[in-house]
Amino acid sequence: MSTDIAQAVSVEAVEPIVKQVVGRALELDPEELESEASLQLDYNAQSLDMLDISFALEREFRVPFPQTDLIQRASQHIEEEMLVQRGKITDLGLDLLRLGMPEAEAARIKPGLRAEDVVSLITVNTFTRLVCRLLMAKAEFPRECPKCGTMTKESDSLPEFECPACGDVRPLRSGDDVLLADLLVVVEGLVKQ
Amino acid sequence: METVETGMKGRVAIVTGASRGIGKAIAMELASKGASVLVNYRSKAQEAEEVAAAILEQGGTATVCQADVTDEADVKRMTEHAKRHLGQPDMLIANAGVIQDQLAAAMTVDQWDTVIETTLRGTFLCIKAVVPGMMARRSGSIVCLSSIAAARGGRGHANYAAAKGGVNALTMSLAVELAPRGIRVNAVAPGVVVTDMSQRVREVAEAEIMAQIPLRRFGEPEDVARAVRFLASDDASYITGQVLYVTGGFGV
Repeated sequence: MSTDIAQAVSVEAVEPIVKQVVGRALELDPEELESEASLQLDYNAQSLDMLDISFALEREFRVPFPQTDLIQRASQHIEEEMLVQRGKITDLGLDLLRLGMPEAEAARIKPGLRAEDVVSLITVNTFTRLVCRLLMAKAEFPRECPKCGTMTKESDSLPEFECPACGDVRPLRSGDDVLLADLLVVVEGLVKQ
Repeated sequence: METVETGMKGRVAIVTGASRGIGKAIAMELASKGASVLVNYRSKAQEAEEVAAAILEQGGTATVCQADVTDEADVKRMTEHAKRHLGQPDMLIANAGVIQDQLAAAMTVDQWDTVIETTLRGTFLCIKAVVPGMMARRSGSIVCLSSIAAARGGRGHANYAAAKGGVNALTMSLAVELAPRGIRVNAVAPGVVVTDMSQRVREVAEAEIMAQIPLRRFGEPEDVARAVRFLASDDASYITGQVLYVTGGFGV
């Protein structure tokens, strides 16, 4: 079930594939998966299952998945103690989660949420949103070879583009980089408020 | 090529530290059964090229890749090299290791770190790099090179024995973690094998060691390579988390 970059980046196109991947990882029928359900709390997904899903989606869509969660990414630019104090997400951290994970159930993003429980916010919709965002980043990736000007070709197995003329290989921006750039826009908005 | 096992044909194997000794024998053995092999080396470029050339000469498929297994970026690059030139890795043989023997009381921290880093950290980094692809495909076989030293220790081997003991523990932990994803993880623990690495110990204590080997000979790299090939292949499809001792019965 290899997905072409030309395929429209839409929730309708991506979600069924995400459900297949999640269903396989959790040994559940994809059709019975609720898009809004917490994979950890409702389907008993373990941390290795989350990795499993990420690896499979990376391979399926040939996009480099992020290695960090939203709070970890944010802590690269904001003092960690502004985001997490005594293991609990601060008000600023909660605001970031609401804006950065709009698909998460609002009632779960509440004071007292612990950093290690951010994973419980992840749903099928989270993975679908991530895949769509990373596919968009791939679609925006410059296709012209910077060395010789030839149109590059997407690798059929790796998240990269290769020039058929000079052989130059350019990997896609990492998922962490893409999402960090998005997050900085959100942070800027919060600071202005 | 001699015989081609259906289970190996078309499979892709990464063999670390494959420019000589046991690693070289493993690369040759897997290739002789039809696997495409990435021959990894750190500093012995010419020897590695010769291993690949020998595989090609026998009608096999091989590519050579320099990488330091203690460097995460290098290991990642090596894995990408395998994917690009051979295909997704189906097998990892984490063989690269070094010895720096010294009595523990006189051992420098550098000697300790060098052996632990190459042998234990290197094995971990290589596994970490290939696992995502194997998990996504629900298939893969990893064989780590351990040592009889992991079970018995040995004078002057504190760093090496500790590293290999760590490799055994890593093997068992990963076997449990990865079994549900269709990946098997095993280890082969050689005894005293005729390689450059063991030359000094064989010279110093040949009679003493030989007396403890019921089969009355040192191992050959090919003895180890055949055991690795078995564990890597589908013939061992119900075996995971095991350490197979290839020692001629050393210490039994």
